[in-house]
Amino acid sequence: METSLIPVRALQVRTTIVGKELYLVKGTDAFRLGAIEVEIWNLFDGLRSVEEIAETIARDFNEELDTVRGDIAAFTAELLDQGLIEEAA
Amino acid sequence: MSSPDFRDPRVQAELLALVPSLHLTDAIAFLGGSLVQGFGNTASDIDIIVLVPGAPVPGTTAGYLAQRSIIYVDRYGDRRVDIEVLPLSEVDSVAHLLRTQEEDLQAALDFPTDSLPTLDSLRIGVPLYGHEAFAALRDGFPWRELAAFLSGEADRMYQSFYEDAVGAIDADDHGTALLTSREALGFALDAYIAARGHTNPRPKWRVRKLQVLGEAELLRRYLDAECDPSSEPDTLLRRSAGRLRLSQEVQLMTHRLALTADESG
Repeated sequence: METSLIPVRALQVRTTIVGKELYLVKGTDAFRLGAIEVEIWNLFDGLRSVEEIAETIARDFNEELDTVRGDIAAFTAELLDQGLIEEAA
Repeated sequence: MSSPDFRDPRVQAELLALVPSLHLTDAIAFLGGSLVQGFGNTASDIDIIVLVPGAPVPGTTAGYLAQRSIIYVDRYGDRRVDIEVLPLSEVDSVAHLLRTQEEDLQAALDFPTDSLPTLDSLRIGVPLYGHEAFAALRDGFPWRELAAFLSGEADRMYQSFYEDAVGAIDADDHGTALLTSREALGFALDAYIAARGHTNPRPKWRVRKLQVLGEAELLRRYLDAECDPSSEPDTLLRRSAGRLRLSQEVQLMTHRLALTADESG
């Protein structure tokens, strides 16, 4: 996946809290988000590319950019596949 | 027309004198409403709330008998003064419902939402009579639970309008998308504002509440999202989607606050 892709949250998706966990809900499906995934989800605003999101996360969590870039690219691809995010127009 | 200085003892005495004396036995009287909160303007009324033991008994002075209260209308200078006399037990019962609603769904359903403005007035109020009882009532009230209740109610409304707006956009129904996406964003903000601890329940003060909470950038984005540049269907559909995306972000902010609150106990 190109890291120049600009992802945006799909309109059909909402967040909800169950217990002490945050979930993405689309129709009858729910996807649990971990703490860093919540931060990434928040950055899927249709303005930032995957590369820019990776740079932000690497900086905020003091992690290696190469590692973060790979993780976020994989996470983005998974969410695209599930229809939870879209490529911004 | 400037707002009276409600901290001035002379102003307080003059306003208290407007309350029919028969209601003051063992009562708590306080000033509330938008002027006390600092949100009011030249058109705002002065609100005096009187909490009495037992059911309020109408006197010979003309007063409007509402469902559970008596309302008097008077004037102070150029301002209208609304005096509402309510049973003190209403505040106690709401406090009880708030403390028990997690265990008792019926209690949550029975919540008297028309008492919400009175409760917020208690929180921000300026006491006029029964000062010690006023302080004890205010200090003992479960404000955090009230804020959580308000946030939850707004979130429920948000979800309902959100789904309607997504459906309208899918159907290219630009007018419905415009209206429902505005409602959704508004309720998303109301849920966030309450999650931040603000207990004023009135949506009309949404902008002022965001200002008080120091949310200048969120407020700028909200107002920008509200202002559509044209009424062309394509523009309205695109802008409606933009409002929903902002509302998603706001809802996430609300949920993160809730998770943080849970962690801090």
